[in-house]
Amino acid sequence: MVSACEKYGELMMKYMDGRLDDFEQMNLDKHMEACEACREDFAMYQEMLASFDHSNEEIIEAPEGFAAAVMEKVEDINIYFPTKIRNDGKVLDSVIMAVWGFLVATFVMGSALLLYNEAIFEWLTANGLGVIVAALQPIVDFAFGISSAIGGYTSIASGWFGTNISDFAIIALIIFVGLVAVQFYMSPKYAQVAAQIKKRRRKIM
Amino acid sequence: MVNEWFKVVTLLNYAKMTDYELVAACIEGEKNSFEELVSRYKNLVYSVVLRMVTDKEDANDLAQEVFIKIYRNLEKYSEEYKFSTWTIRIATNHVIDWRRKKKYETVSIDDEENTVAGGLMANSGASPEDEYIADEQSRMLRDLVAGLPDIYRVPIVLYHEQGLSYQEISEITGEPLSKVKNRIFRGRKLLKESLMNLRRGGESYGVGM
Repeated sequence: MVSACEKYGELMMKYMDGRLDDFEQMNLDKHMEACEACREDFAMYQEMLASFDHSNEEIIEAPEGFAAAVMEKVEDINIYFPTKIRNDGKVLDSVIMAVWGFLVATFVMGSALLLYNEAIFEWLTANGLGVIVAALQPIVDFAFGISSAIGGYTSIASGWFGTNISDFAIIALIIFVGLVAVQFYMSPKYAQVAAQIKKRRRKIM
Repeated sequence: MVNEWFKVVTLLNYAKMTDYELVAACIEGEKNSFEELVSRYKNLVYSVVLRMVTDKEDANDLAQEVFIKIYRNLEKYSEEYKFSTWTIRIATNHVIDWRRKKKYETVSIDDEENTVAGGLMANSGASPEDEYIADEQSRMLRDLVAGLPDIYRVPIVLYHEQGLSYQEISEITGEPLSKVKNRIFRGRKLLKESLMNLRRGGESYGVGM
């Protein structure tokens, strides 16, 4: 009798796991008709499951400000990770940043000059910066020389921009392209870093 | 201004990165990337801890300590586990340690053995009527779960309250699947007996009145 109830106890465990099939359910029901102890047990298990389900429905969220509180403590931690790859690449980073800044600035200025050279030159001369105009004029002439050699596509393009899009929109577009270029370059490639760290980890640990 | 903008861009990048990439970023010294990990897993850690200690203030403190532990041990994280699995393992171990220390500090061994029974008595006394609403009932069960020994409580909480599978629990506790199953079965039986005692205690109490 005891071993029989043990077997049904196992079925009850299956019930708790939600893996009791129809046939097993039928067997268990039949046994419980005759056995009061198992009937009581089963009622308790059902109650337990209902309570668990009830508390499962409740979504528990961390208190407000939790992440901030953690980060405050993390800031105070100075820890050296042996698998770290870059030995404080701060110098290199700022050199790369400077080079990219220069390139983007050149691009932005170049685009502006291409589209608005006359207005810009006028403004510069009016403000006593004729020296710069004198220095830039050959470059602009050279650029236009190339574009007319190519077939005037550049002036067609700039002409189209000039007539169809407002000045403000063009400047915004130029700056936007510059920013995207910087972001694209500066966004860390952590997939690679992660792979490298994994390798180092295998060696060290 | 540029710095602010740069910060926003990196935060957006963090949001797109995988857990392991974020761990790598932390190791490379970008502490801010840890914040993304915290916000991804704070609810998970907090709910596991709360379900094990039941007191909200304790749970808040413990969950924060869990994340500090995670940060200090980031290098030990290996990609073969899900980050959530690893996180829960640290959380459960931390709670177990904490309870052990707390018991040494405040409770004698005699009391320790009586906590389950004591909890039951207090409970049956507090609810003389036989009508429970679902909330009270699950609170009562939670108290019973809290009274279980750790080796049963951890898998019961993870399986029944946190909804993890046997396999996941076995990865968390580092025990074989069969052992996890046995502990959950045994834990349920203990809970069932406590429930029955509670009922019987309640009934006889009522009759006695």
